[in-house]
Amino acid sequence: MPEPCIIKKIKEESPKVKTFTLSFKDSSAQKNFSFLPGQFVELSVFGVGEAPISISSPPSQKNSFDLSVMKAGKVTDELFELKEGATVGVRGPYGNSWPLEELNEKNVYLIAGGIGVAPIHSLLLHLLENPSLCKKITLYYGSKSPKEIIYRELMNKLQKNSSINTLLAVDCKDEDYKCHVGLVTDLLKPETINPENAVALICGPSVMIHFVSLKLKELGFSEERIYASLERLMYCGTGKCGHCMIGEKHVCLDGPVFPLNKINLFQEEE
Amino acid sequence: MIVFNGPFGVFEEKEFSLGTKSILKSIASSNAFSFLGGGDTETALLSFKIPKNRFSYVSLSGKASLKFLSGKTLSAIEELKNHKKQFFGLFELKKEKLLPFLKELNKKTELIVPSLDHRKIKRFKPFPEANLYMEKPTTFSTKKYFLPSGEALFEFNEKNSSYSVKPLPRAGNRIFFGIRSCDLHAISIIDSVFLKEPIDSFYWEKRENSILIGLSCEEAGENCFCTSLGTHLPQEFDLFFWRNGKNYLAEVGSEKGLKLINKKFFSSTEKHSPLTVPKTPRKINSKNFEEILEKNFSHKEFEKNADICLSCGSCTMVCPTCYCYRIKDDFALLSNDAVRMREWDSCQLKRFTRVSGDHIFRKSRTSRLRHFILHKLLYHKKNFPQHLCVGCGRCIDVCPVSIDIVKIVNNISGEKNEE
Repeated sequence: MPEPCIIKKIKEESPKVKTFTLSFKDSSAQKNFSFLPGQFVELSVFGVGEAPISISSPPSQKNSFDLSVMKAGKVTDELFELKEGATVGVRGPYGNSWPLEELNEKNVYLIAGGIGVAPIHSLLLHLLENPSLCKKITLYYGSKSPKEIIYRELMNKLQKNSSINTLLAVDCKDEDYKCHVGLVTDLLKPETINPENAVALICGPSVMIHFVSLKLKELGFSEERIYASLERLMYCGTGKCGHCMIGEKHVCLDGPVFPLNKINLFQEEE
Repeated sequence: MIVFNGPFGVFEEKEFSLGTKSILKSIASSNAFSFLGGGDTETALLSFKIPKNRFSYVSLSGKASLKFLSGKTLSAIEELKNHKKQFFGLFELKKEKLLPFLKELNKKTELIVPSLDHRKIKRFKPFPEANLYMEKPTTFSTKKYFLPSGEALFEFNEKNSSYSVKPLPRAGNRIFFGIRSCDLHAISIIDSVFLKEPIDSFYWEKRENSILIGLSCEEAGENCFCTSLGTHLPQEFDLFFWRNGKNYLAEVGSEKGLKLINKKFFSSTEKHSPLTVPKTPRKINSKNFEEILEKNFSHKEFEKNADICLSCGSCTMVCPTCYCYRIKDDFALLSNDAVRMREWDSCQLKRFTRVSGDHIFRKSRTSRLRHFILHKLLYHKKNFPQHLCVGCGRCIDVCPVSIDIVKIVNNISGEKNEE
């Protein structure tokens, strides 16, 4: 059963994306709520239904947690109507997480597309707070246009910060911004990527994951070094409703993060 | 007793084989209890052409045998011991006493029995209104009593833009009579999904409050193929009624079942439960169909059948093991109350895999039909102890275009169908 949560803060990130800062009504539930970057919750908007949403804040944020949501369906349409102080329901956290142990002593390439940047954001902040977890971080982030780039302050800061190479791509420019016009795959070049001692983590639309993984393999990444966080329809989060199956795997239980050698992503998509 | 745990030297070389050979031969001809262990021992027996049945027991594992003999426990054997079927007893019930027995049960508890309605549809209904029907397998299983097609999970109401969630009253106790072996298996298959951590409390309550009384089949249905999946012998019941000529032999499967044995109706018996089941008309020919399906993901048989498939989802609705569901909220028009509903869903419907932005992961009928068949006979068993199919043949019975899972699997295996 979903636990009631109060919307503490709503931040407009882009015309279609808002970040909701939530905190459990019951303070002990908030205390007990712990998660790893890459996990998700089932968000209830009472009167409409539930939707799986990735947590975008880092685990260190204890008194609340953030969900960056794109207005894209029944539940999220209704969520966007809600004001600060309103009540929603939350179950979770569910799913595995980004493979934190695999990042140890490795160079990490984070590749995000669209709202897929949300779970990457959680991981990125976690890695920034704990620099010993990995070596060098490179961030690739593709959006439709500069207006739709979310977490703008962070991106601005990162672009100035030399320790994290941040490369942004947009399909078309609607305002002046320091980014490449084109696909995020254009940015994956031997000059910026070295497959040696490296792990690539992807989250974005299905098509993007497909082309990015092809490109990465071309650049010399083996499948077990490429991890993708997948999107599927999920009603339960516990492996019972049957919607998120890919072959025998349940995205909600075995995923949402999979190394590409463990799952046949595109076999079923026709 | 003689324990033999490995050959003497390099028996594979003829020059060194004599010792091993003569010792094994003399054990074989002795009257002692002989216990042989180890993989090499078996190879030796084969190479010397000494038949295994000349020894009391031959184990393939040498190390495990020694461990066991030294008094240590073997985890697999411990597991078997834990799961051994407890024998609670066998009782006889005269045919004429069946109705009085059911009436007695119904005095205290709701009783659900197979019933024949005016449209010749056989489904489970509450006694005594039901038109008790016990000849052929039922059109529908008992699934809806444990997983209703539409189930209210909880209620919530709005007050000052805040919501309070409150649980709904739960189902009472129920006794089910007349569940066939295949459907008993179906219940235990759904148990393994819904009672796996995190336990689904809505399902658990209904299961916990129910008593299952099985009934052996007199006649198989048109499309039954339970023997291909091993679901023809019952498991996980409280009582199971074996038809035995003019009477029933009631096998007790649990403490709950034992409590139902009322001496007014039952008499003790020394007979064994008759393990006879009617011959099923249909059969999956290939024993290793899993392996074959694994290798034939892109077999044209899926596409051929998907060409005529209407994606109506009837197969998943009548299936006793299809458990997929969706969630939605129903709002009352005139108040601020709403209920969260869970409803049956079907992987055959296009929107089953639709995510925001209208992306559909299994767009083609081929991919959906294939998912149904592979989930039933391949995928599920990778995560759970059984297949997600009990061989009841209901999906074949109801398909408006006669798509036939047995035929599809047999065609993929390249074997002839029985018809």
